[in-house]
Amino acid sequence: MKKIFILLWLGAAVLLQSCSGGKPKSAVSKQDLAAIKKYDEDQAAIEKLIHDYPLVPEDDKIFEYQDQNSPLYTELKARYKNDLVQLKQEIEASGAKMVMIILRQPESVKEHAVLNSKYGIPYIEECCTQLGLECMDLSPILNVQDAAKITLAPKDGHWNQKGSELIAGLIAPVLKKYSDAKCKVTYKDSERPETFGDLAPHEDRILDGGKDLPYHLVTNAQGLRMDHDIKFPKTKQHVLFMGGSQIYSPFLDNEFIATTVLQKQFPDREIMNSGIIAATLEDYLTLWKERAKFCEPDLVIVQTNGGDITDYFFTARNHVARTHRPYQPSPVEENFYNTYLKR
Amino acid sequence: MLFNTQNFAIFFSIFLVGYWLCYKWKNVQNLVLLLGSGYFYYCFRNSLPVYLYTLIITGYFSAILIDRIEEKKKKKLLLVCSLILIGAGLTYTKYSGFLFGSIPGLSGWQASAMHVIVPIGISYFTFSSIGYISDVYRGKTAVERNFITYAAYISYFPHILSGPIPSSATILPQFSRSRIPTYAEIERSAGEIIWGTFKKMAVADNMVMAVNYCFEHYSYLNGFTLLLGVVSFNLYLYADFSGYSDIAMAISRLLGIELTRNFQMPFFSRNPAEYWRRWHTSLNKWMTNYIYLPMGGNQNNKFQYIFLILFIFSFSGLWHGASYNFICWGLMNGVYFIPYILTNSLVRYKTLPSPGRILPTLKETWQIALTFTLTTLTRIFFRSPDFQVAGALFRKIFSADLFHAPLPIVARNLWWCVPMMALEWVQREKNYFLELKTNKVYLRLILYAIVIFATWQLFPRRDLIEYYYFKF
Repeated sequence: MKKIFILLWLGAAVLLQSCSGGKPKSAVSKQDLAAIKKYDEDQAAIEKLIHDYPLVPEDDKIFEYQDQNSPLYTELKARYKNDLVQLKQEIEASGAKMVMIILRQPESVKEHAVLNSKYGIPYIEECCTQLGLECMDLSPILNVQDAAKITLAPKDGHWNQKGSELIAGLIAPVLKKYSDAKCKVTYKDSERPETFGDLAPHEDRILDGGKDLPYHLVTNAQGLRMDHDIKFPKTKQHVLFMGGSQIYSPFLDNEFIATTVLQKQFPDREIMNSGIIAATLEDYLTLWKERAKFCEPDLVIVQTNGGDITDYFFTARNHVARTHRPYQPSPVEENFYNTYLKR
Repeated sequence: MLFNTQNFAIFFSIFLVGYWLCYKWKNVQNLVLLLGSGYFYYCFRNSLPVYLYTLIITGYFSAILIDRIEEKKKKKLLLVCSLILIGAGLTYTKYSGFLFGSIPGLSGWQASAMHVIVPIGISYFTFSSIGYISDVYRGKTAVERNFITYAAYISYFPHILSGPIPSSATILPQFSRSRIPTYAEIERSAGEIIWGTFKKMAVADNMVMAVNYCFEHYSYLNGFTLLLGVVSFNLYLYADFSGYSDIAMAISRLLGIELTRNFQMPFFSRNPAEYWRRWHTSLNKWMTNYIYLPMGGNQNNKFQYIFLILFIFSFSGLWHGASYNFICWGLMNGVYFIPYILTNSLVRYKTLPSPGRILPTLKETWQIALTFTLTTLTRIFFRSPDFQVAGALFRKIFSADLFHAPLPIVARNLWWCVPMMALEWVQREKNYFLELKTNKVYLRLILYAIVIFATWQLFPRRDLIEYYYFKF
């Protein structure tokens, strides 16, 4: 009798677990099938490319091969600029104001990416000037800080609580300056996707990224790193932060990340964090088109740094791009890969 | 090469076939064991095979010499010298920071300053060697003259990293006979591996993040959340360490060696003494045999008895790590014995609570809850990195800060261990949950399959997490 009780008890527990993880089945249309087929083909192509070209160059590696005027870096810069132009057009078409901020880990904790910034930041600033975009470089202020006080060094180079507060303080004037920015576009509820960001909705878990730095990740129903859902029609100015891990802020609880600090400082705004780990400008562009624009932001703050240019190298893209499409090497990339990186 | 990895499964499958094939020749089996254990140990980060084998050679010749010498004084002197020699590596690598760190001029001699690593499993194989030599000295075990047999015993891979610490009187003789398990033993081992893996992968690995989170962010979490974090740590530690020990025992049984059971449902204990007979049993037996009993045990007067208990627990704390935190952890556990000793109420229970009944009596419930609470609180010292953190945790838990709602994610974390504890309660009179007495094979197989399926469904898909006790 006792054994049967145990058996039933275990069976019920497993069944419950399986049911909670399951998804309801629905009819699959021909379009869906075609999309699934395309996705599978792309995945196979990416896997093959990763197998054939497994190496991703570290930050400054590209400059060890040739200097900043090399055909390779020129090609990567062109891709970055092309996406920046598109992102600006897309955001401004909605009537929102776009501001670029250059934000990177202090040089003392990322010594292997010094050239990346040295050559990348002036180029980004030049692009912004040409495009008439406001660009704020926070790195001179952050570089002179004691890294041990504003980052999680030596375990990790991302911001600690103090670092986040400092960054929020540096960005606050931008929010004040553009308090009247307003987007022209509104979307119907039926047009909006389920999420505005790339994180899974309703996340509430503890992660540590394998670095023994546990943190509490909470996402709202719309896949953004924040504790409350965004309501429509909007009653506040919407400020959207797009960026990489510097915006996402791994290893910090939600309440200590820069966007939450700003939310507390600006309760009359809706501060939204759509940061994605290991992303570059192309990812922000596709995220904007697919999801982020539907949260109707009035002000879009895009975080970037020199690494976003070198992250356009095809092997890096194949590993982390959110588009999940295969990136074939250009002749210049192939040459660099075979003659330098592989060695 | 953790027990719950594909690499270990491949290694062990190949090893087992080879080992079983030569079951007729015990010396060949021991040689295979020695080579296999060497490979297993070598695969770990911070392994130092040279040190391990030096220790084995030292222990081997020390025991032979002790056995040869007739004169009692010389024998004793040799024993002391051998123990110093064998314990020197452990003392230096693990305790030099603690001993020299605060002495000006000597801090440069710390192992960390000299870039000397602490070899993985050092506490275990050093204690195994000390136990063996002491047993030879006291005539409790026959000296092992076959070097391969002795080396296979000390470096035996199922127990080298995290125990159970073997007792030479019961384990070593098993190495001197040919070994092949019976069908019943194979099935018993399979059940134990399945249950041990469930505890490690479905319970411990799911609980560890919230535990780490509480101890990392104690400064801004409230008292109730921290209390739940400490409770979680205690349960996590049990799931992790007992899971490891179950698997170690099971794979050892497959090799024809029956190890000491390390855990016997400790959370159902009714007083601290019972708890310590059921938790990390092999270490406690070691300390009982080699320190507690030689120093008089409970035959002393009450004052001496209390002093001895406090000494034993402080020593146990130091075995875990060279810090005041561990000493406090040990002392706190020892202090719990004092009221029981003074009131002569330290009952030595022979069975677990309410045998044959579903629920415990009210008295037993109170006793179990009290023992669990007391031992859980000691874990604050055990898990905290230093005194400051431990102090802050105690202050928050024993203050008005306790009367705040806990962080839901930390409270929810306790659910992971509810099935494990409930099932172990149901089977508390057995050695482990899947020890089934039913003759119906299909019923047993269904239960095994359900636990395997549950483990597969529940284990978190992320990097493998090492067993907690590897650090000792």
